[in-house]
Amino acid sequence: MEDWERDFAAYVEGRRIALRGTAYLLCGDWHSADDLTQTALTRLYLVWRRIDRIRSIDAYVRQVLVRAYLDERRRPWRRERSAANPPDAPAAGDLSAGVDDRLSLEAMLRRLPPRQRAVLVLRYWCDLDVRATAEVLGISEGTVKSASARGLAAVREALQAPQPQSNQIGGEQ
Amino acid sequence: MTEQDLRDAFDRMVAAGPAPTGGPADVLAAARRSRRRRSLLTVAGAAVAAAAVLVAGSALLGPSSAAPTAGHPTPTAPAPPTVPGISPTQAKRIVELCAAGYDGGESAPGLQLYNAIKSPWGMRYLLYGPKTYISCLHATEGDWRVHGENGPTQWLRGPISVDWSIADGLVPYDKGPGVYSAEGRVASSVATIRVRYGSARVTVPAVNGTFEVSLSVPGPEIVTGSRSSSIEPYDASGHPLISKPAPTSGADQYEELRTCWVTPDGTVLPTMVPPAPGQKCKPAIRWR
Repeated sequence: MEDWERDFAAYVEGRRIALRGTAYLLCGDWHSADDLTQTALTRLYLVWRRIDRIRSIDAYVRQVLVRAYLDERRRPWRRERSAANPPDAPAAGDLSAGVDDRLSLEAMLRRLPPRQRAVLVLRYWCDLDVRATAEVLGISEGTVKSASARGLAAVREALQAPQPQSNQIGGEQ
Repeated sequence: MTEQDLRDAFDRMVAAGPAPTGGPADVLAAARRSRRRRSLLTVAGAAVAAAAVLVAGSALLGPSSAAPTAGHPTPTAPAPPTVPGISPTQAKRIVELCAAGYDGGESAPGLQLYNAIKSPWGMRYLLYGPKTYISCLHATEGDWRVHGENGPTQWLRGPISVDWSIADGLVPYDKGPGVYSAEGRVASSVATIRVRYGSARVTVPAVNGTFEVSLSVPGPEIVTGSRSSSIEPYDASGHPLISKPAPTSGADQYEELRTCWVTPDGTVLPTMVPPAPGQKCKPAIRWR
């Protein structure tokens, strides 16, 4: 392994978990999150030896990740959904008191438009300010603010709505 | 819900997920070998595939050339593809269904069925048009699943172009057995394609200038440098048409990514790493 690859591996060691978390919050399943993370890190690997030209490695790799996610979401027909990759189910160890909130939040996030979801993740998971979020997404700061406000409102509305108690049509007798 | 509540909720969602398997070395190995899914029809896909699965015949093509017109075969009008076991009427219907699933049918003009195989999940069909590649799975459950890319299909970077591959059931969180699938285009010189994924391997014939394979792999295998996948084209005499294995070092990959390919009219095929000023490009090979 060459020196630059060791440097790259060290960066991966330090950042991969957080990057993977960002990917998961964006796409909503861990398989795709791993793909997105690997995509971003592969792109980073390809430019690593020119890394001194990149102002912020974190910002670069985050931008690659988010844009890869948005690009895939724009082309949903290109994402074959295989029966071998069922949607993630909550793990057995997840049955904590907050599981309902978590699941409903996840469900709500899936319903948000991709860019609005990305804004929420970048602002409230990555803790980016409005300007940095706008740079990552390539949109104006005003758009970030409005998307953030609408996203938060949608979250609040969804979490305040009554949760269904039964899957039976017509309800209980 | 406040902003802090949302932050906390995000924390809980991420913390509840599975831990990643493998470490930085696996990420590095995968970066070297590229992503699971790739396409040579896009700029990014071209670079990734070059770094991953196969050396696209660069050594076969001989010395680089800035004016490589001599390296291109004379274009001829190929016969319409016919796929064994599928009637023209069936092929037409498959094209309609797949194009409808891909982009509502916009890509249908010029689109033709080139290959079909039976995979563990159903019949898989491979279609190409002048500017479209579509892969279609008619699943055993009855539904149609489609993916593809838009991009010129007339030129190859070497004797083979892997337009898509995926390892289902063979990555972290899947326990296998799984299936490694790959498909793409090959030059007229290619007769067979040997595909290997870990310990599993298969040889398939070229059909209408394409290949398509679903390779069953017995157990969970993560692609690393030592248990790699490869896709290698052979001519009718059984001679390999690429002269070196997939790159194993970052330096090799980088050099491969820097390889550029040019058509007779001087058009440089898209690459992730733009050609340097004065860089000599290799002659692209016409597909059908």
